Amino acid sequence: MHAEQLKARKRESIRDPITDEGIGLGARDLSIADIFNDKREQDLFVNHFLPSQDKESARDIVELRRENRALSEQQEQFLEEARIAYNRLRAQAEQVQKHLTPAEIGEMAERDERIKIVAGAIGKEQAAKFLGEHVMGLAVTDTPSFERISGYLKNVHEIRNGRAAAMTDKRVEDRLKKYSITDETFIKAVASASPNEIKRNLQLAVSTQLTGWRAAFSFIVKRYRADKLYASFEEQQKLIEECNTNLVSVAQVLRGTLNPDIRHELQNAALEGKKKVETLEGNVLTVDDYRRVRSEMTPKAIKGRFLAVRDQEVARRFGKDKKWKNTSAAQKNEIENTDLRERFLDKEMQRQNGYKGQGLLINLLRALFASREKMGKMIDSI
Amino acid sequence: MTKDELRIAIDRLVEAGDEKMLERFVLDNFAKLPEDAQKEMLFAFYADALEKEADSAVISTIQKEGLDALEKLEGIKIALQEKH
Repeated sequence: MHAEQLKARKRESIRDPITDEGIGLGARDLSIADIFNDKREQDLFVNHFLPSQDKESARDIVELRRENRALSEQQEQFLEEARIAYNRLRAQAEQVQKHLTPAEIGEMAERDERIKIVAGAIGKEQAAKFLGEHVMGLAVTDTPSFERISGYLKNVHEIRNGRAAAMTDKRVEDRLKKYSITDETFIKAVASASPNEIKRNLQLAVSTQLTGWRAAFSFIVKRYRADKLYASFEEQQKLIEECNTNLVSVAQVLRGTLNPDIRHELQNAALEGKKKVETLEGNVLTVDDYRRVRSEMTPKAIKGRFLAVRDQEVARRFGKDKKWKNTSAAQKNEIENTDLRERFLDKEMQRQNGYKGQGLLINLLRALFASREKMGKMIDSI
Repeated sequence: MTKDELRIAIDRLVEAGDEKMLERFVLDNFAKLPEDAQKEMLFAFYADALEKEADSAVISTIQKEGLDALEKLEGIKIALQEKH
């Protein structure tokens, strides 16, 4: 990237992920020196952000800086480009952090029992501080999770700011007065015997109606616009009948949105695709998965993997029958001077990030995972 | 509570195989958890709560879409009737 392009990129507007308003970099326009002089910034930039941009280049740059050697022009450009992208990402994270206030914790505590208990245990101020700090790190270390939380916050921001949306129930109610619509379709659906059947029928009625009227509506509008299709009286009559049928169908779905049970099913039907994907994703979904991962992540297991990797490196360098224990001091020194330790830690971090799931178990695991630094100490103690 | 103590307590509960009990334990002992565990768990609870709130927008979207469809269908119907 040329200097002009870099300048242009710097000028590109950054959007607040929640309000979508333009934001400036302001104090977030950190220089490379600023980043390297701050332990936390350096950790995020060097250990997480740079490798996420280009692992090889990141490693080369860190090595050269460690040895106080000059970077090539290409490396300087890579670093500058990464710096700009990092500052932009962190600026966006700061905007998200600004929304995570004690007042926000208070609002959420009213809606969610667990947040209420946590806020009671550590206080709203501390909870907001912790959340903010976590989100700032997450933007760099786990961008998909950061984007997920920003997306939810954006939706919630829109809901809360558009309180008028809550008035939609009233509008629906008023509108339906002119139709004699009952929950008939849904009532039929729940008229069968077993609770499972009732649930299945209700779900079917809801999803059929929801998708059905959308398709029919779009069809009618298209036909109406294509003037020649209803040129004859019969065609007009037919289209009016279709309008009537679909008016009833739409009104029935709207009526359903006012009934708490049907509302719940409508919500499920609309979110069905999303939920399916979410439930299938992940390798930590059960207590057995939790046990397996815990056993893979004990200090003993981590040390064991490191010993195996080290022996592989010894065999690669000094012959397949060689093991660490029967290498000379010079050979040991040679191995220790490679980036074996860092590569191993990279892989272990990748392993940790590879554990995905939903719910309490994966979150407990994440809370218990050893940091890179701690894993480094574990293998240094061998 | 250190991370190791937390790990032992959680492992015991995991052996019992009850996720609800685990959650109760985490909530009851929240202030005693190591700071990074508190951050991780608080974020998980908050993201869950936020997701639920965001999902509630679905109904409002259906309603807006439905009201819009009603209006358009009625408009088309009137226009067609006037052509008679």
